[in-house]
Amino acid sequence: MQANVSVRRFNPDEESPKSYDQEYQVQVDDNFTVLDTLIKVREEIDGSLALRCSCRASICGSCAVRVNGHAVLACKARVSEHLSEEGSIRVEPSGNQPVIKDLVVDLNPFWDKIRAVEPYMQPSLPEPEAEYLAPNEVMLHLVDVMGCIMCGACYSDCTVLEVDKNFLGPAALAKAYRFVADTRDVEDDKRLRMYNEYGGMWDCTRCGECVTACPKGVAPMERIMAMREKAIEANTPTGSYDGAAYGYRHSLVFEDLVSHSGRLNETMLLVKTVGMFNLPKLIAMIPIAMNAAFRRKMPPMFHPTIPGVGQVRRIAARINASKREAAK
Amino acid sequence: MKFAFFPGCVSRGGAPELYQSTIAVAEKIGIELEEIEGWSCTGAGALQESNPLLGDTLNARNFALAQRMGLPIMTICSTCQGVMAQAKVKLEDEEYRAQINEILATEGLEYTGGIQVKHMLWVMVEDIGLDKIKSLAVRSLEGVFLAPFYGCYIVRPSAALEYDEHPQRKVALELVIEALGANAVDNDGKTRCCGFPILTINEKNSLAMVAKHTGEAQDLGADAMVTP
Repeated sequence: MQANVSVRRFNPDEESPKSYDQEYQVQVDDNFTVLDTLIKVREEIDGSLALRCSCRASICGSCAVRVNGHAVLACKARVSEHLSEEGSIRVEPSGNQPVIKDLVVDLNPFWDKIRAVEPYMQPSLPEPEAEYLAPNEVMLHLVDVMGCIMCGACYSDCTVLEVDKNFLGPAALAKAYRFVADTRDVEDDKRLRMYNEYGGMWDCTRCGECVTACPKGVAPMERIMAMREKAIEANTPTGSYDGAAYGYRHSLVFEDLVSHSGRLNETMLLVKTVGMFNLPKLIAMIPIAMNAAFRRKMPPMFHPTIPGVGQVRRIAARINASKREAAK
Repeated sequence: MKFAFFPGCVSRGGAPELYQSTIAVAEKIGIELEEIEGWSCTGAGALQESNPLLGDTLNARNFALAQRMGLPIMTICSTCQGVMAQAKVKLEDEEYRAQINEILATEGLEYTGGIQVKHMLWVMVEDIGLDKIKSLAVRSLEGVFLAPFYGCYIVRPSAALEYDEHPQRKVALELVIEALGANAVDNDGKTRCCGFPILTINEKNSLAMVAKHTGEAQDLGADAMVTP
């Protein structure tokens, strides 16, 4: 079948380099991957097309690109599944990374962030006589996390990185979790303090793009959430980043409010998250509150409890009691 | 067509217009709503950060209440829909469901699995049908440009939201917009994130995210944005 492939081109060697879209008409077989298609373009139509690839088997992580706006491994995505009704497909370089040429991006910022989380085992010393042991269930739990092939697809589609390049990003934080959750690594406290800083786990917006983009089932967002839970449970100090402190409080206050009345009291959530005595922040919110009140969109400060609120309170109490027992 | 109605906390709080318009529209298009008595917050993903087990149990309770009514659940919020869909998937695991049912049993409740949770947007497209919606429209929106914005939790993860079984969900908003005579303004941000979850954590980033998408819609000539 014929595919109309639109590729985002960029040539840094031009006098005034600008990115533009180039269209190619390519005959593709039903089982062609996007990579097969791009290689065919390069070999038969336009030898100047720059792209990265290696294994062609979804294991080396070299060929992450954006297809129709979403990051995929080019060697894994089947062209037939991404063609529009009119037979078109759009290929662009990975997002959130500087473009070197065509579909080749600069991965150095990505690698800097992986290195920043100290991605190596920090076990207890002195070393044991034989090997360090880890329980089977811990390693089984980590199989998917360890499956990361560093392709950067998650990094490409991260919605926070679009607005803030300081964010460590999903791959680095998933890698961080790999060590926090490994019982052989004993630096949990140090790690969680590090990831509590600006750019760390509290800057994730929980959008799920990374989970969708990952070709290996790493589910970075879920690992970030697991680390948040760990940090809250361990009461790890939040350090210099206000965001982390607000993050802890937001989660705990949310739980508290819902456990108490069955429903979320949005006004109290906001007030208690920033802090009931945080006058500067509270005063800064007055114009917003007034605007909301004027538009009759101000959530009530005190609202009725739900019918059956006793059920919710008892359920919450029961669960928290078991948590405390288990912690002992 | 009758549903166990799950309004969600925000439609009873900061977005009362959502609740009021739902009641008004449901009546007009023939959806009978019976609000779940005693429904609780889904946790919105935020409660799950500190206590995932409580989140799953609260949702199992909501499902159990709906099952008692013998009705599928209808949501009107992307977040409620997504959180419930994910909880439903987790609760399909028999062992986990049994563990949660042990807690629910102390309150005389049981969730047996398999609850249907559908957003009103999908009810309109899949159950009511666009032709009926079109025929019931009193005032055409011809000449109005509307940019769809879905909301993360009604788009990802697509498996939990049954996108494979219902591929038209990918364009449900556009379908409704066009059925009512308006022009759907395609925009890059339509399935991206508005940044709300980090509003109190990093206000600058949060506002930058929403501004990016409202700005794009504005630049593309949209008169308004539409969310489910």
